[in-house]
Amino acid sequence: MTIVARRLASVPRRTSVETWRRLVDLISVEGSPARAELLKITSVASMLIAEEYTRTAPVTILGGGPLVRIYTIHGEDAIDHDLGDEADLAFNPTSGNSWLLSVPAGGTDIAIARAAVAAAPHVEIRDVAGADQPTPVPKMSRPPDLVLDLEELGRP
Amino acid sequence: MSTVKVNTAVYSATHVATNMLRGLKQIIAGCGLDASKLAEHWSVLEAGVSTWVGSGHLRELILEVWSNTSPNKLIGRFDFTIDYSYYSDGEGELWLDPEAVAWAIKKSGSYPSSCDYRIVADTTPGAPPVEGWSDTALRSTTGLRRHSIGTAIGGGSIGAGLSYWK
Repeated sequence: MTIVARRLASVPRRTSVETWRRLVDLISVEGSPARAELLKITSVASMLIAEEYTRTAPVTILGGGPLVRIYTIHGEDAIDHDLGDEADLAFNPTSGNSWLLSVPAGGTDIAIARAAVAAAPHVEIRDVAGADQPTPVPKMSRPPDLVLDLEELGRP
Repeated sequence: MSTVKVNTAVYSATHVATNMLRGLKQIIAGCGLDASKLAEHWSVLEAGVSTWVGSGHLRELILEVWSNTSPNKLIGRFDFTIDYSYYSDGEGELWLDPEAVAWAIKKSGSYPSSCDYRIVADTTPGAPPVEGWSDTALRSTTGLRRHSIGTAIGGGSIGAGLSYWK
């Protein structure tokens, strides 16, 4: 599987909410259902970023394309971070309906965050300790093979 | 304790604002209260606290705790008090002392699950309005005594001292 990674500057370069919004900008298209779903969980996702779970365990987005891993950078590293390294993705990982975003959390935050994202069908909270792995997204049914009809190409 | 050298005021304001909220979250969970409400309102809380620390209008960030059976009677309170000239040269390192928060939790003890809480920002006149925040009055501290833990968060020119009421 192809993996694409990004590292986003967070506190104190950005607030935790600004960090989440940058992440959402990176992985979704303006006006899309995915962006609306992700912005609805801004509070709890930002709280988890502020707790720095995403410093060592990435937010992952698994869909039809490559696996996307997004880490956040904090403290002095965030101040020194070159924002030019936060390049947009060449694809939209939240297109369609078969994507899943997984956010790490720990301790009592796990239950709080799971309750907070219960209404977001494409979002899960996983244990940062590693007990949980991001849930694999069920593969979409394979489209029918395309066959090039050479005879048709030869027709006038 | 971790430290980071910095000389940019906006970064120190964000650092202090974020870590005061993290500290209050740690206190809420550590004292047996439900942190779900904090998670639900994190965006609004962060917007207000970071704005007012950045503008220099935030005096104190306060956690009030009361029993649902007597909502007007305070049974506990925690204050982060801001000192905007904690470092005279304005170039203090970014630091956080989680032990200070842990000590405040230990000294105040836990609250029954029937208790509720709110977070209040005490600002100076002229503070810019922030959506989601409204005016209120603090509950009386009659019968409680204030105990200072010391400075828990610092950065730039700012220090945030932590106290608890019991």
